[in-house]
Amino acid sequence: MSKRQAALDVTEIKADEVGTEVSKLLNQGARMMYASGVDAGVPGIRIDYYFTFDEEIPSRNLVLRTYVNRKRPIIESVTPITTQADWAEREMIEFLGVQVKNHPDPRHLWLPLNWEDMYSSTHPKGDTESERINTSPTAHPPHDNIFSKHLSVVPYGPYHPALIESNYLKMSVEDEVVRDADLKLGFNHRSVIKLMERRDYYKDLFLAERICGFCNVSHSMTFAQAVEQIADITVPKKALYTRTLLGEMERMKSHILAIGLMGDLTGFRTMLMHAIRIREEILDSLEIMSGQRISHGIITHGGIRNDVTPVHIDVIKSKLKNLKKSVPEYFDQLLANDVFTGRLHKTGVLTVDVAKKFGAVGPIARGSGIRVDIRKNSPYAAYEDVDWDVITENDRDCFARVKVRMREVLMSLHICEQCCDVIRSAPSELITPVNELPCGEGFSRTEPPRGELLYHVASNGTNTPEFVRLRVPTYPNVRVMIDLIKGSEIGDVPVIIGSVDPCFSCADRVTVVNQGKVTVSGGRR
Amino acid sequence: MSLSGAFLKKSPWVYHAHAGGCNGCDLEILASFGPRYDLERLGIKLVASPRFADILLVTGPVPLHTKPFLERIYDQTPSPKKVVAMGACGCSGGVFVDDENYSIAGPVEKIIPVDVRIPGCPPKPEAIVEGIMKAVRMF
Ligand code: SF4
Repeated sequence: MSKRQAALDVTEIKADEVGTEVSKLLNQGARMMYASGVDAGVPGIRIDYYFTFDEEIPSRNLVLRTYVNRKRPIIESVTPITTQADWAEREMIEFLGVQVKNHPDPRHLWLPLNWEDMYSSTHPKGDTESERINTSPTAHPPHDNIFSKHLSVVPYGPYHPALIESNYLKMSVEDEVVRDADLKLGFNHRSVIKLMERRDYYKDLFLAERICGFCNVSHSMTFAQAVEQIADITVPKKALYTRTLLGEMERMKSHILAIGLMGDLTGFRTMLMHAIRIREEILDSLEIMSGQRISHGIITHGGIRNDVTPVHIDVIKSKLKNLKKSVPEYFDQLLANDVFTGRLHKTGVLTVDVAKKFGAVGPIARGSGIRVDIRKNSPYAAYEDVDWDVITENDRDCFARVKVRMREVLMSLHICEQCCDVIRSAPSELITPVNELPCGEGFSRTEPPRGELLYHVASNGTNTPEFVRLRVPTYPNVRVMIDLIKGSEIGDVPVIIGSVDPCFSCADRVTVVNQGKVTVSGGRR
Repeated sequence: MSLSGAFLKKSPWVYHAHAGGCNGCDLEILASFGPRYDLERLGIKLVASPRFADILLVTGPVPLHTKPFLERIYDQTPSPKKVVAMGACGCSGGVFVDDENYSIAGPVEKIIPVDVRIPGCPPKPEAIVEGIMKAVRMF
């Protein structure tokens, strides 16, 4: 039975010591995962900086915690020390009204372009009725807060066929070379975190699942793990292995689609169609287990909700057998194609230094030879008990990242088979009920297909969480993507985006609004 | 309009607008244009621009940020056009409906007129095929 993940190690510091403490930790080899603020009421706005040590296995998780005055929430920026804090601090400025001093780029990233019209409409003080959001046509045309330079500007999105999801990438181009690039997000902003604080723990699971359709198992699993840590319960063996099986199937279906999209972006529509065909087998097995193809609703606090019977396992095993034949065949077809490989070779080279600087995670980091995988670094579910290994490639280009994904699919097949064998003979206990949830904080990390996902949940003894904070893998990886786009040729941009495989539904899920300065109360109904 | 409508019945083109939401619905759209469900054999094609689309397939609860873009896409689509709202989000707002949700302007029918709704979170590809065929028969 695997051990539980390490709990959070909280160190409280003064607000003016943040800079020195952060640089001290970074010098010790820590990576800054995230920074977020919570309006804690009387003590002030609490700001947490999350760190982890990738070199240590199992890794230590550390939080630097500081409080700032609610009336004058001023904090010194740490972005000049580490770029890893850039977007996290922009998020704080945007959603919590914290004034981050000396931030190099304090612009809005997530809120709508005409947010002033929508949120701070002129309403009498205390009149809660008219405080509602104004969704009527805006008074002023939305001002574009994206930079402009005297170069040719190429807009990309928000609805671009190559990117299924909406986001807005703008590039300044000189001849064929991209000189500067900037991104506007927030097209999927649904204020999930705010809703989580209002609903009970069991409803939150479904909300977590609907953050992203690609990695819904990981989202609900991570949330459940954080709650299990607060409740201090042990999950039955069968549930652990089923979670591992679900997670690996999710990784396969996501990676296969990502590889297929790479084929599409380099001009091979057939490859995308093959990918969709292969994916159907995985979706079938997931449907057999849970009754749903995309969002499964099978993971719950303390275990799983549906039994996985030997009959299910037989069907899944036969599907896995088909996959074992069709997946390598598909990969061989791709790798044998000179146009595909030649297009990706030496494109979008991500050096180890840059990857570390931005804190890249997942296949992007592993494609540059960095051995970081949360399944190994801080094992969860059944990853400690199955036979597998971290996959890295050293070529650092788009092709390396695609190759990492390909090899991971094969590794996932191997893990799935082992899980099936164990589940068939495991004791039939499915769930350890959560009877009581004491006050406390839970922290959990997992490895969805795209990298590292972290959830920080605090309970106050009631049936709704005090707060939930989460950071998705696309968050640091998109920063890397923008850096790769700068200086590349414009023809390479689609392949670079495809090789990073961003998921903006995840990245746009957030908000950090409590009763802070930017009060956005009222509702849409 | 009946003349052009009759022509459209043979091969309507679909534009997919992602208006917020998770990716679940979008993945199922991709699957229904894939080899197993293959909407293309019914003459239906996914196109890259609303300017030559006949059917708008809208997924998601429409965040405030996306709202002006969705309106613009609707205006850009030439008539006769049909709008299909897809998923629990598209039909009603789904899990994101809440009094305190400050960032949702939807559901879709509050912003643009909707002809067909496909419920489900996400709907299965069979349901998507049926929903689009319903819209096609309306021309
Ligand atoms: S209906 Fe469900 S699957 Fe579709 S976008 Fe909304 S939450 Fe996602």
